[in-house]
Amino acid sequence: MNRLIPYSGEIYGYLLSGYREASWLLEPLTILALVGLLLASRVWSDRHGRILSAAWGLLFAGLIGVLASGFYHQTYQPYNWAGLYFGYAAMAQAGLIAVWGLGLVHRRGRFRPEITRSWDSILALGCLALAAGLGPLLRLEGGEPPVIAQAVGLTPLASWVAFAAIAVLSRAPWWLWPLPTVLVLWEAGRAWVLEIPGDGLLAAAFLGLLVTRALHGLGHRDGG
Amino acid sequence: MHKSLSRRRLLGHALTGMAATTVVAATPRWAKAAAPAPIGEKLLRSIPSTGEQIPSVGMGTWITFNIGPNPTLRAQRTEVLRRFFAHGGGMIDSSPMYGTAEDVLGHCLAQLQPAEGLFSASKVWTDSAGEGIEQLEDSFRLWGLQNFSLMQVHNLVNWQAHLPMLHARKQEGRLRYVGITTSHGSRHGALAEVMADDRVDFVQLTYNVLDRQAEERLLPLAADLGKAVIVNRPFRRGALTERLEPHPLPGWAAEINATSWAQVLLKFVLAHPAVTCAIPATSKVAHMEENMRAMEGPLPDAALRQRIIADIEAL
Repeated sequence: MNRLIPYSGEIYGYLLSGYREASWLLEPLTILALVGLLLASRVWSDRHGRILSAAWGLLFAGLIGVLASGFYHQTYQPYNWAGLYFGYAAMAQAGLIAVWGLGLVHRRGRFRPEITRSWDSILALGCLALAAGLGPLLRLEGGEPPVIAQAVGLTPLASWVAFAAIAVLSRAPWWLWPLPTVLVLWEAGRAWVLEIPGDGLLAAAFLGLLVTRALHGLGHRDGG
Repeated sequence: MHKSLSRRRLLGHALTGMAATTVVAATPRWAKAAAPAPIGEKLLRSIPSTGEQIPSVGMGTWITFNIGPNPTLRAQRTEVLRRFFAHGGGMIDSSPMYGTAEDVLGHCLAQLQPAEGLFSASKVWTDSAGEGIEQLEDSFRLWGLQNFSLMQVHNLVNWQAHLPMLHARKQEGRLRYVGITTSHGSRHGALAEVMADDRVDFVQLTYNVLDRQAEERLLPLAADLGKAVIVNRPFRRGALTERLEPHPLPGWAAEINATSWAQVLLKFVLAHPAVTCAIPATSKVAHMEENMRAMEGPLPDAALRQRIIADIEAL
């Protein structure tokens, strides 16, 4: 794994902070959109199901598209050649998310997050809060070199965890999981090599959500 | 130098470092401003195919120079390079695989303008023959050089296509030497086959006090065939120095004028007579000073090398 990481933790911190500074607005906008859509899904889940699913699909397809182009290709790839292929994988995933959100593959197949008092629902909401809140919390520390902190809507781990949380709440189909899982496994390896506990926590959250979804039967509700 | 020695004679020198040539390294004028301490005689080694002498400690750039556009970090790395040249350093080794390292090197070299002393070494690393040519041109552009001292095929990737291309560039005068590399102790059998090729002047491999697989076949073969040897990962990518740092230097370190574990590790590698140059990587000026001082003073003899191995393995 060491051979695949041609940069230090210090440089990864500078890389993330430089990218956040250049696109800082995306993070608060993403958090607002996530909260807004969750509230809307709770209130209007039956009457406006198609519209909400399209909104979720477009939100995540857009975020993952930005991740592919802005982060993987333009920011990360100069430091690591593998970023080129990660970007292609993320682009493909953005397409899959859009297809599902717009209900193009299955009449009833769409994002319909359902918040209940079940343990998996609580876990998913907790992971969503972690994805959105861990980065800002870590950044309170400040200093040089910059602390390594992910940003939902901007950087890979926080964005994949947010997606996975909504996918669990929506019982999204199995084919929306493999690409993010591969990319997060790689991120977990990076976190281990560079010894970044915060990134390790986010990777563990994603894997926890994956296991949760598997335990409930992938694609059970929507036949995906 | 090594070319004229048979394997038996070479090994007969019993790893004493007698094959090394010591000369006084001249400090370039541009590097003198930042030189705080007197710089002693440096250990040079000859490239077997030409007899050209180069400093026996060079610099790798894996991770340490992949720092992107940050101006503060680039200024730090420029200082590291300034100390490298001030201490008589020559070989700098990089690769297109190392992210922004070649771009950063080009920036640093432009600040320092080391007209003399630089022994530039990079690599071609791609499955595609056409892309190999593009990578080569990129390296010229990124380093800001018209000619390279050495261009290597990285990790044996499609060497069948790249080696003739690099040899043709050598004939054109754009490269002085051609080489082939491997790392982390893998594919030694394949490397041994390619080493027999007359077009190869240099081989690069992993060798350190704990990873000594190269002693069995590749280092003696390089001596036999008259190939220069570059040693990567002399510190096991920092793991060895990290492991040894908490322990005090043993008394025998004074026998070879070593004042740090890094110097012990480098002197161990350089004491193998088949080794031409070791290329530790660092991002710290203090570590660069320490590394370059390994070119000064005596090298361990065969008995001391065995003791170094035993003591370090026991720690």
